[in-house]
Amino acid sequence: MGRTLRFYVRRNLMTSIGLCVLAVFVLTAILAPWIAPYPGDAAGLVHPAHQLLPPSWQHPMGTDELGRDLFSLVLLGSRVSLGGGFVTIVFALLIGVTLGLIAGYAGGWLDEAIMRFTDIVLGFPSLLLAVAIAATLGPSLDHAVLAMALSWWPWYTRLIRSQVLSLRNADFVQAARLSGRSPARILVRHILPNAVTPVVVQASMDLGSVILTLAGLSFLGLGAQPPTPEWGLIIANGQNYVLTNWWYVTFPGLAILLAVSALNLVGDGLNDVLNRRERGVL
Amino acid sequence: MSERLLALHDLQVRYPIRKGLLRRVAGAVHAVDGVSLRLDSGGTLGIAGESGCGKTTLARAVAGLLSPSGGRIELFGEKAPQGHWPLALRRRVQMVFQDPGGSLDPRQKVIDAVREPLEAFTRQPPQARTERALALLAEVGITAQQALRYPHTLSGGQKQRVAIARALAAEPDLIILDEPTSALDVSVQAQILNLLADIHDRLGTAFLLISHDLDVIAHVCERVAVLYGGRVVEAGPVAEVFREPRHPYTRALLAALPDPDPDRPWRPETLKGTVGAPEGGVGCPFRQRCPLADARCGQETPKALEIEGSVVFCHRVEEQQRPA
Repeated sequence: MGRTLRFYVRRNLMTSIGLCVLAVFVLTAILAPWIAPYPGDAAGLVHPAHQLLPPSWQHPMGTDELGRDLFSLVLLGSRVSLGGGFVTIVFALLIGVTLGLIAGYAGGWLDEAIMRFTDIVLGFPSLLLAVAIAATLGPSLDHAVLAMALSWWPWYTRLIRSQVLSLRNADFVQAARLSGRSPARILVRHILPNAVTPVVVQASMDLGSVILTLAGLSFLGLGAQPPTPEWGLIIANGQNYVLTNWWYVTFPGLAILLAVSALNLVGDGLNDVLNRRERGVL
Repeated sequence: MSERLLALHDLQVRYPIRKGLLRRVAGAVHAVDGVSLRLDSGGTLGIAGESGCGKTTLARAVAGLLSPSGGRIELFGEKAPQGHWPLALRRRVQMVFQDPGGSLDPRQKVIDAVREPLEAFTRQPPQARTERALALLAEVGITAQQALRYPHTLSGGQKQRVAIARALAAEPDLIILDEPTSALDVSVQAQILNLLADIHDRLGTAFLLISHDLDVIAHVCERVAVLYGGRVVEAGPVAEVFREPRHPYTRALLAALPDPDPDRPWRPETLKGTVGAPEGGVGCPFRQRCPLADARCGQETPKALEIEGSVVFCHRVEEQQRPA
């Protein structure tokens, strides 16, 4: 008893920390244009006189080789990274959940067709597939987001389908049929709300990896293009200065680390809360 | 003469058994294997039998939730369609499930569960639907305050009351009750049974009551059919069948009922073996466990034998009746 209690307090503590960090990130992302000290630096302004300055009160994270304020770039970059990740997950959910619902409820050849296609996409490593799609479409932020969504949805399809399979013969679904409800309405009103919990948890945990992947794609030159401030892109530019100017890659790297860790902690916490409500404890 | 409400003609439901890598059909479980029954409007028919005898499959087939493999279901004088039922027919046949927890959507408020059939079957304005749902819930003893809660906050008996209110909302002519009390405590069972008896008296709704509990059937039903291995072995008026059971299986079933008097010794005749998956084919379905079985029971399927308003399917009973 004491041990489970301590476990929950510890879990809640970690979740709270994650939530706070995440809240700070979201807030700064929203307010970035107003709180960034040099917002013009993200729009292409350069200051050759200030290049590669170490962190100081004027430039808390130092400056890059073009004299741009890294603090402003990281702040404004959070909009691109968090926003891009979020949009990716939303698109992947839209595709994955729709296909999973149809496959699970329809069954038969439609189920076979959807799931075999899903297996094919799953057969490729997500990152590799995203790189391939992004490279084919041409490097841009929009294409990178599209590429990631197109390589991420199969996980949600599988998850939703397995939930639908166990729910579609549940008595309350049969009861809805007896109440004269159409299959489409049963799917949306009864099956989806009961199937969505594990997918929401999975999506919240995936947000971290998607942000990481977006940074990776930008690092490889397949994502955000200069002068768009994006964490991965800043690190790519800074890689030549790792040994000489430590601050250049450190701060955007820390931003990625903190954001991804916070998202993972929140995902874990969400898992606990939703599963407990499922069991009727909360 | 009352109207014929439900008639089953040689109804069969088979589940395929798939085997091997290619999932080829290797055989079939004959869950319901040639059942013929009728139920008049306003009547109450009980289906008795132990687990695995095809009771629930029969209930779901009659409710249109699964398609029969053979035979015919006639509802209100017409053949029930395969697959999706038109709304007009759907409204007239409702069902209450065995597990009250499982038959309510955990994410749907109690009142919305009752409002759902009203939305599908009637053209009332939303306000009227809400009032009607609350009135129906009040009739089965659920308060307006409880109506706004989620199912997991209610007890098993309360959930079953909600399920009954939902079935009544459609104003059906037939309610199929699939073990409506077996998941409940004994004290709550009695309340639900009284509620059902009251509904029958007041609204004249016909019941098809599925139960393994003969006392429940005796309490609610006028007629009973005893099922074994997917087939009817004996059917007739409850009073007649329970007073003088003729089929050896019905006798064993009645003998297994515990007597509430602790001073009377209770020595039930126990049957050997357990119910296997019914495979169909020729012969009496009960022959493997029957104390009276002989070679004939395995070679010849017993025919219907009418005795004093009951129907029995047994070679031994038939031989006794035959004038020597």
